[in-house]
Amino acid sequence: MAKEFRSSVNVTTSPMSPQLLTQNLFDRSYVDFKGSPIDEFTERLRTLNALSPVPAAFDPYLGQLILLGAVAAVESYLRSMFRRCIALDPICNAQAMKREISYAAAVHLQPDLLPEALLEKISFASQENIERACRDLLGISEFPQSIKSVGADYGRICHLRHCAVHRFGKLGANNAVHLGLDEHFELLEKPLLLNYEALQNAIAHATAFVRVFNSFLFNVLISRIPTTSFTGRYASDRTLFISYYSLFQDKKSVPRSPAPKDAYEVFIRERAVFLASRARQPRPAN
Amino acid sequence: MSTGDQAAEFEERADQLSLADIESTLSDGQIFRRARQKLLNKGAKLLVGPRGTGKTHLMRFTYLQAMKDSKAPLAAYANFSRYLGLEPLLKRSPDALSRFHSWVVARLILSAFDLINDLAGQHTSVKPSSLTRLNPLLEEASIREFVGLIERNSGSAEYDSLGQFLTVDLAIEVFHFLAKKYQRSRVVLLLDDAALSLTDEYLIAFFEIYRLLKTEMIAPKASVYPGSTQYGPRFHASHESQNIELWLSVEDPEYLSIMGDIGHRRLAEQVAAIPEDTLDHFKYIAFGTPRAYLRMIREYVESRTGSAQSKVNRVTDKQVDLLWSEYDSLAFKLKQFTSVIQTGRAFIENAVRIIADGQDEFGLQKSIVLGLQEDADRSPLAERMLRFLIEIGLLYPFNSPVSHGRERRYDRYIVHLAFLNAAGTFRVGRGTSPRDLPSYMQRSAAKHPIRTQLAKLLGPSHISNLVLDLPSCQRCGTARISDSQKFCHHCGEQLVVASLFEECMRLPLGEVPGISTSLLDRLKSDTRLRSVGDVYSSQNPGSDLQKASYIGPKRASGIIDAVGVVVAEFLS
Repeated sequence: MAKEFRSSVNVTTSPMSPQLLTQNLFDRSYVDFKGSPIDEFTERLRTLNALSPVPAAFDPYLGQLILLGAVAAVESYLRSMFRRCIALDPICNAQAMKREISYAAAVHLQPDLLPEALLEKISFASQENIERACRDLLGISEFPQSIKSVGADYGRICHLRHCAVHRFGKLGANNAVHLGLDEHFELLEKPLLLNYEALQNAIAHATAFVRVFNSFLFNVLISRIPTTSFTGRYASDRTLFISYYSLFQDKKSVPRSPAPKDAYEVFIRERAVFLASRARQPRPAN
Repeated sequence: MSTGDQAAEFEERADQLSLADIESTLSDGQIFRRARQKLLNKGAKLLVGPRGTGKTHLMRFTYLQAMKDSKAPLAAYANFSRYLGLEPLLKRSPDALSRFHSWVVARLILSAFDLINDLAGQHTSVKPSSLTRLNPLLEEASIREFVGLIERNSGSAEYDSLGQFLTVDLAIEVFHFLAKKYQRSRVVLLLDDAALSLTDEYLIAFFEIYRLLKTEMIAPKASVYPGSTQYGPRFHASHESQNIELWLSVEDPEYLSIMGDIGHRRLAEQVAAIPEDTLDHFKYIAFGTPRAYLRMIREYVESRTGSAQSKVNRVTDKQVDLLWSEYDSLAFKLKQFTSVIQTGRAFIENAVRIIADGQDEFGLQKSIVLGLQEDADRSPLAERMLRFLIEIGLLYPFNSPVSHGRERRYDRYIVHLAFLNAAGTFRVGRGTSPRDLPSYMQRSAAKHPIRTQLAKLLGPSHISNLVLDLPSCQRCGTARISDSQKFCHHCGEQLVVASLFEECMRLPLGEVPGISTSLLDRLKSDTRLRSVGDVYSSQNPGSDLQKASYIGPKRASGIIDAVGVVVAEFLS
């Protein structure tokens, strides 16, 4: 068979490629962050925010990159939170047992990092995805309005991020649909042009989501623990309470979370009020 | 302000009057008659006047009149003075605006229930349950509970189960339903205390709702402070509604008679004991604010010592102090405007000086109008400064500027007469007499205002003080770049702003007038009540207070009232 013609015009050229050993690019000495996921998030966000150019020297491209970083910080928070909830909480753990992970993860990951492998195929890039992950992995099916509203706002930030990552900032049709076609259809294929205030507001939405979600998740998990597990005396309940509370406690921001004992007292008081009001209600006839 | 002052001030407030008193004490002056008519007319309106000019009185009166007159439109009255109860949400709830929206709609729906209850005697066929049948969400007790909780910073569960479903459309449906039931062709919504002057975010959200309420059948009427023309990006007062000015000008030909009428209707006995000149002096010192006039009458009558003239002086001086203390308290409430508010004080002081210096040496003319040249490049903060002065009622603005030649247009104002009086502007001869001010006001007006420019009046140092005072980063202390900054540009920390409401709640009980040291000690040793918030937010403050020795039901309720007055003052 005759060989087919293939031209070899050098349209673009490139010099020799440098060596890039990806195995050397990750920090071997890194030990996982010891504080709560929310504290890790706060630290990362601070680092990112400090990179942001000031209004007088604002660069919209750099702004986009910082926005990507902020969304990555939220995702990382969620992964870390899910992993640690699955490791700690029996109901989350039972829910996760039904899921499959890759063979490589099963063989090589430390047991406490195994839940991370569960999350590899999960995307947290929209409110629906996050709610689905909560249902499938943490056994949570009810979401109050406060979570829904910050989740929806965060979902919009994820769409901006999608445009920045995949389309160099240009608005895609799918993103426009999610952001609201009526207001966005004229902006299709137009680039995202962040300014200082818009970037700060977008990061504020991402932060708001994390902070509201953190509180929500703590309250769901602590409320699911059977009443009989708590005695009402801090000295006896301390270990159990702190095992949960420390996972959510915010020690880095202003205002920070209440001290564990103060939070415990509020929790016990609320639980007592609830039990007393339930005891007053007539039992339904069988 | 001492307890006595606060209590007196409290008594003059129209929201403290019984319905019968509301009816019998409204002045019949033309400004009120016209305003009443406009409140009932078609179209959206803003009832404009600083504190104490009678907005609440007029709205409640209009409500009662419309209720009785079957030919009038159906009127409902809702009050939004408690909006600051929701202010902490702005600092800690991402969906604060949605919750605020629910609260406004809930208050509107409650005004419909109030109307049904007030009309129950005449129309037995319409009951609160009629609304519940219209929509099961419309259940009076649960909406009241939701409103009570959200104003006290709780009610999350109630918001999820009820609040979030309360929409403007639902409120409109309710009023359409009631208009039909009561056979009225139109509806007027009297939205009182809608100035929401301490939270811009809520003000904008409120006027979004106001716009939605405006339908062919429904005319919203909101009471606001003067000085603002802009209520958010989508609501411009002059396009969306018409203003009803309620601030009576001291130059109004009916001024003395209307103020006199108000005095007679509310405090006939006291008024009879005061000489006419003194009354007229107080009327002018009140500067169009009936509440201040009534307070001065009471104070004059109650003051026992000194000559008539020294009593007049004391009452007049006190009015000046009260005006300043109310104005200065703004700086405490709106910390970002501290410098702007301080500069406003310098503005008044300098304006008073040039007006006092600019008086006609022959004593023939009245010259109290200040002409401030319009400048094209006036900064937004300079505008804000003037707005604060107008809002509080220290500066009376004329509606239209005057022109003195090309490109020289002057905005005209009258500076509060109490300040001009204190500077001796009206004094004739050596001593002072209550006759001075009333006779000065009888003079013919000077042809031109006393003209000046903002930059000249304030001078460079004050002009440079027109800046925002933004709190620095709470973590690293770096100054902020702008008002809208959310994260520190130096260390990356999320910037927080203290909540005004929470600051008020943190005030120690020692700051509440009328609580003695020994009472404080007993509260400290016998109860857990330490701050204004401990009493204000308690489920059962009466019984909490009575845990201390020598506090019975009467004293407890006295303390609760005093705390209520402090909160109302702080947040007003």
